[in-house]
Amino acid sequence: MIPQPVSELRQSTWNIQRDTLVIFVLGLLVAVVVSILATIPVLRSLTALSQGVKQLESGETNIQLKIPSQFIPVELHTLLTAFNSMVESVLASAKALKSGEQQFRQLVEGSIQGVIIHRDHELLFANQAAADIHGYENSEALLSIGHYRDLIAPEEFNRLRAYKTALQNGEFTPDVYEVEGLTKDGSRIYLEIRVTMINWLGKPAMQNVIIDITERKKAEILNLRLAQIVEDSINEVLVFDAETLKFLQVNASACKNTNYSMHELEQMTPLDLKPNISAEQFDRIIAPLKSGAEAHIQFETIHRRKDGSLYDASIILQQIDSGNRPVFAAIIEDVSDKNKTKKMLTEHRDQLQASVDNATQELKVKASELEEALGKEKELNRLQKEFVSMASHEFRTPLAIIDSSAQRLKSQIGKNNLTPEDVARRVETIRGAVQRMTRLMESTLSVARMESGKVKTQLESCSIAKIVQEVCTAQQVVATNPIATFGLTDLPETIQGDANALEQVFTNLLSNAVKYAPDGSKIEVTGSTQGKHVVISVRDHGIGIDEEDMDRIGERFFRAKTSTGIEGTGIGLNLVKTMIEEHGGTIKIKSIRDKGSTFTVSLPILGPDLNPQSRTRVA
Amino acid sequence: MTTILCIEDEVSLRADISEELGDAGYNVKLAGDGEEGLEMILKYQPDLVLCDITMPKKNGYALLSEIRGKYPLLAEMPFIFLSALTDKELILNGLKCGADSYLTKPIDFELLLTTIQTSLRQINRIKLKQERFLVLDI
Repeated sequence: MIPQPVSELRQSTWNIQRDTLVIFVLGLLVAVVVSILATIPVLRSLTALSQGVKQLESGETNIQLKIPSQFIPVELHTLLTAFNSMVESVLASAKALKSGEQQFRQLVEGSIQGVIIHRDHELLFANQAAADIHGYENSEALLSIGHYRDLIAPEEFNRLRAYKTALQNGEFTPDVYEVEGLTKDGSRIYLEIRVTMINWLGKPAMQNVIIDITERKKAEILNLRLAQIVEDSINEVLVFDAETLKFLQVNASACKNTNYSMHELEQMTPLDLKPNISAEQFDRIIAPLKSGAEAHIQFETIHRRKDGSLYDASIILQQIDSGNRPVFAAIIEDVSDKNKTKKMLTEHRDQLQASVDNATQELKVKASELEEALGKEKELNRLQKEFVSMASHEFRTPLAIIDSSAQRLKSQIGKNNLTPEDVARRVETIRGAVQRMTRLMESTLSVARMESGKVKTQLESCSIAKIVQEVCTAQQVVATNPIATFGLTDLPETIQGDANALEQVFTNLLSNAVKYAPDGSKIEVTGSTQGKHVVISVRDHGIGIDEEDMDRIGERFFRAKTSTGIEGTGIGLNLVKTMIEEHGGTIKIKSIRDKGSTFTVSLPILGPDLNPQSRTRVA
Repeated sequence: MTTILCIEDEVSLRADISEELGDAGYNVKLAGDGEEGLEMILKYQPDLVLCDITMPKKNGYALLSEIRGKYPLLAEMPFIFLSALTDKELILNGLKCGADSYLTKPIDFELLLTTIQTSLRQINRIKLKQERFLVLDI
């Protein structure tokens, strides 16, 4: 071969250079197009992923990325798949969370206990029961107040805060505590709150479970108050076992009053305080309580203090239902002072009663005396009135006799047929009437003398037989009745007496006998000596005296019914009685109507006892 | 002849009254107490009775009450009390028992006779009247 021309060579080299360049450019172009085509799905997937993350971040859970089946690298595919599965699991757990919260709500809503959840006292949750307890219509209304402080009494708030702090610091806290709460209208309620720390939506919060214990608390306060009253009572209150009788509980007064300490008393029984009651007696006392026959028993006895001093105890026993074993409560009052006062009052009352009784008795006596005096006065008035009436009648009768005789004389003188016998008869009649009037006058005057106290007996030795005999003789002159005397001569020669008075006595008795025996029947006068007395009786057989009048015979101005129509003044026997009494003697009367009367006079031979009162009669 | 019964326990007074009435022309009957008086009244049925009050056995009140109560046929017989009882109540009591007059002792005989005449005149008038009625009835 022979060297080719250089030009040719040169030509050929250039050609080679150009071809290489073209190939290079073409190859570069192809590479660019291919790489562009391959990048598009990768970019799209990446964009979707970044959007999905953003959506997740915004809380959306319903996200599902599309995963291209080709043209993306394996790593990208894995990434997308992982993202999708993560979103699904988030969705599932969110669902689970939601149903859990619903269950919680259902649980607490149905609860009768109130539930309030708060964080730093900011209210997060409340159930209906909580709203009810605090007086709100529903839980929304309760939550709307926002802060826990409006549900708790102000003074309780610090306590609540301290409790919370302790709880947070893990220090010891009681499970349950009691606070005073507030209702919507501001009234106070008692709450029992159980606090637990919970996780509320990812952060710690306080869950308060609330029970309204207002009623229970009130009852407790009442019980406390009662207990305090019992403790403070001035009455001793002792509770003892029904069987062993040992004291179980005693109050302060029991200790104070008995001087025993509480501890000492707890070793004792009621019998140790009651010196006067034996065990058997006490058993008998409490038997009705034990059997249930009595709800309570009240009795009084003596109690002995530690120092031995005694006091009156008024005791009320009752059985108390204390569950397992029967006990008795004794309420004891120290009634020593009361009893003392009562005794004093009773004594005072009795004294008063006695003095009132005395005064009443005195008054009664005075009243009856007055009544008697008044009765006597009335009777005397009546008798005096009767006397005046009777005296008028008795004076008028002889006056009528005198007057009629005078009138007859006058008319006979006029007719001139008057004989001396007629005149004599009439004069006698007139004189008789005048004598009758004189007697009446004497009798009336003797009343006046008695009234003025002028009758005084002058006691001296006098012959009673002589006086009686003379009187009998004098009466026999005027009387038609035969007068017989017996035993006068056997009488003592003299007795101590007033001769004038005794003459009057027997004149009255004899003239009465004559007057009241108008049929002229005999009159018997009998004398005898009986011991230191002379006894003289005057007996007639005349009209007698009715039995009903017997008691009053001898009363001044009194006249028996049988005396009607017979002259008399009711003075004679009264005068007789008075005079005999002046002599220290007595007069007894026996009488039967229509059969006659016996007047028996008894006179002491030696005169009356030397008793100045009986010497002189005071009218 | 007009018959008058005098009941009086005082003997002398009874005698004087009897004489006085006899002088005046009356037929006089006498009684000494209430029981005797009643017997005489029933026996003689006098034209007029003059009567004491205070007498034994039966007093004037009792006697008059018995006559006025038990014997209606004697209703027109004039009855005059003659008594020493002068109290107003006792006089009223006597009149209420049915007496036509009440005279007190001592007695004025003129007054006594006039009272008797007045009583008799009255009773005669009544009798005349009754007789007239009887005639008319026939």
